[in-house]
Amino acid sequence: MGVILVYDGGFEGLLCALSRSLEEGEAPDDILPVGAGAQGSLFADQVVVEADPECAMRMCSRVCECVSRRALRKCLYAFLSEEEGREVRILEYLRLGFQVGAEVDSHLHRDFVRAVRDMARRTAHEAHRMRGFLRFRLLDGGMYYAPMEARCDVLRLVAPHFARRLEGQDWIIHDLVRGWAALCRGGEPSFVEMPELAVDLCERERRVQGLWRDYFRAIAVAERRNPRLQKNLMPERYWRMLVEIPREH
Amino acid sequence: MDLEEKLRILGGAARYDVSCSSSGVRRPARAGKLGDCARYGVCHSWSDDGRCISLLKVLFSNHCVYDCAYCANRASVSRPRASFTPRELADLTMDFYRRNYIEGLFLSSAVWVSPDYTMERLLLTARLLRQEEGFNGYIHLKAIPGASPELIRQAGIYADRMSVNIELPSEGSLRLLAPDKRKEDILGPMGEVAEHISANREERKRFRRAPAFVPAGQSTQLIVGATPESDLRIVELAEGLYRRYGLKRVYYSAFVPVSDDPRLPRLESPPLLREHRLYQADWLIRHYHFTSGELLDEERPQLDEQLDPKSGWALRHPEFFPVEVNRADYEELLRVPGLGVRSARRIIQARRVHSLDFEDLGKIGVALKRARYFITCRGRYYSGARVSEEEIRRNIGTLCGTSRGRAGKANQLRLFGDDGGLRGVEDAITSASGEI
Repeated sequence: MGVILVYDGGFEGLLCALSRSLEEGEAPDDILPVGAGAQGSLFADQVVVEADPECAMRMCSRVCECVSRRALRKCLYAFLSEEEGREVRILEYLRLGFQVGAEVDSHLHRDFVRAVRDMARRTAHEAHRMRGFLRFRLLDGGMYYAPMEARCDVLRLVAPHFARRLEGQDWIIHDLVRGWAALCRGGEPSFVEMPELAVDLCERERRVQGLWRDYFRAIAVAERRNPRLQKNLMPERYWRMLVEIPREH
Repeated sequence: MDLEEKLRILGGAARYDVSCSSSGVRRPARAGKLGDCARYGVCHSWSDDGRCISLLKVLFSNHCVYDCAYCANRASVSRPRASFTPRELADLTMDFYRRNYIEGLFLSSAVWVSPDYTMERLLLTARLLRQEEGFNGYIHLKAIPGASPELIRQAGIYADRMSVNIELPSEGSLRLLAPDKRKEDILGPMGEVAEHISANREERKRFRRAPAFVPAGQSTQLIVGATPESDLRIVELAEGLYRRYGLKRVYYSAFVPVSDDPRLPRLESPPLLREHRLYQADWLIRHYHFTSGELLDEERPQLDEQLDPKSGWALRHPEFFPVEVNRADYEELLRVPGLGVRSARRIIQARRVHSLDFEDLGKIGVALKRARYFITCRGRYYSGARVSEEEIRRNIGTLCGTSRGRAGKANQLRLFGDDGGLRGVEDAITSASGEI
């Protein structure tokens, strides 16, 4: 009879589930966030693993000491990719990591090492795109607001970037997909749940957006028009966030 | 004239400048200042021509006293003219930056009144941004040919990058098409900036807090196809600029006909494929340790449009191949067509723990389409035996999507090859994701 581990859906919870598997040397059939495994399985017992911050912290230091800090970061990024099946891949990756140490990242001929690397890269790439594609709008009242639709859960990765660079500016980055937001009024950003929000642009904002659209049109060289290249580099799924792209998209 | 109109005119006038790079400098956030710069740079958008937008790239003015034949803003042509004020530009930059549209400002200009007058306007704008507005983002300033050394030195204190566009790759062409500019006017400022940069580097070794001078280095731009220079001349010139002036980038701009001046060639469309091949050659020189002499010589002064320059070199040097992926060093791997910096690093990393065969290479993400003709895995060729040069040429030629007859079309579609030439922000993704 196999086992399915069920965790709370957060990274800490996952670390606790991983820690349990690694310590007991068991190979669970699957590791699932709560909710996803609700339909149950005839052939496996579901075991709920409680999230325990201390256990998660211990696991973090063990990974840093016995594998590498880089490996821990990679696990976090792979987790944030939200890809299905990532939990078991991360488990396999760490199991090998505890055997061979920091060298685990060289084992690229193994599927799970590549899978973890690719998922982590996808998250990092998505975070980088958000650093470029987020557009803040100035609202009545002086708050800058940026809606975000990202494929991976990158809010925590991008918020510090904007906290550093937009010094003295109050802002919100609203993750529309996951219903939460980063809020910054000087200092460290805080994270809050935020389902939906109706925003009122101020008059000045409309003018600045118009100027940006004028610029966007003016800078293209007509003789070199190349929409396919443009879409390769800036996929259409992001266009809704961009104020420079005309409405029909 | 309202600001909207000015932005349309002066943004449009700047579009033939290729560079939009915001990389190469780390400018950490500082208390009370707005902005920071990441070393890897950030692209914020891509325009309809597929070129990245990282900076607000505008001319300060398009009133020009010069009459260069290749230029859309030359004095003798009648077109709408405008000039910004430093205040307008500072406000635009701040407004765009706060909304995350841009990484900073790229300010160029036509020569308005005189070189010194123009350079002063650029300097005033940069000073306003840095000192009054507390702007800590990226600033790229043009050094106006013929401006006084003192103005250029002052501008370099505020700028992250400076550039002087050479535009025409030889003195003869310059005399013909840009009679108001002299070679010394262009190379003078470039040399001064280069000297200040290297002096500043020494100074900062001793005094770490000494202010940085043009920390992201210099770049320049060459127009390709307006004059008869060969690829050999162009690549040699670029190589010389990298060596002698320590330039960070040379940009190539396929000539877009903007007038029917009889001194200019008639072209149906800009020579985009030639521009692409030049970027590939440039990449080989900067990142793959090739020299111009290995790519071109007096007998073969043009790059092969049907074949990328690295494959061309490989086919001329059969004695270098095959390269055994499990033993070859990094430099040897870099010489293999189809293997880039990332693939070479991955091979070296993976083979530490496991001897690689072709299947493994595919798994770790190494593209074999071109490489397979030039490598062996554990002593074996991909197809069992060495493939003849003609066959390789035939197969690689089609792969490049540039076989005869389709060249024009293919070239439109596949401009973004493995050189990233038009991306502007160099290796942005690679560095940002840190190859994790």
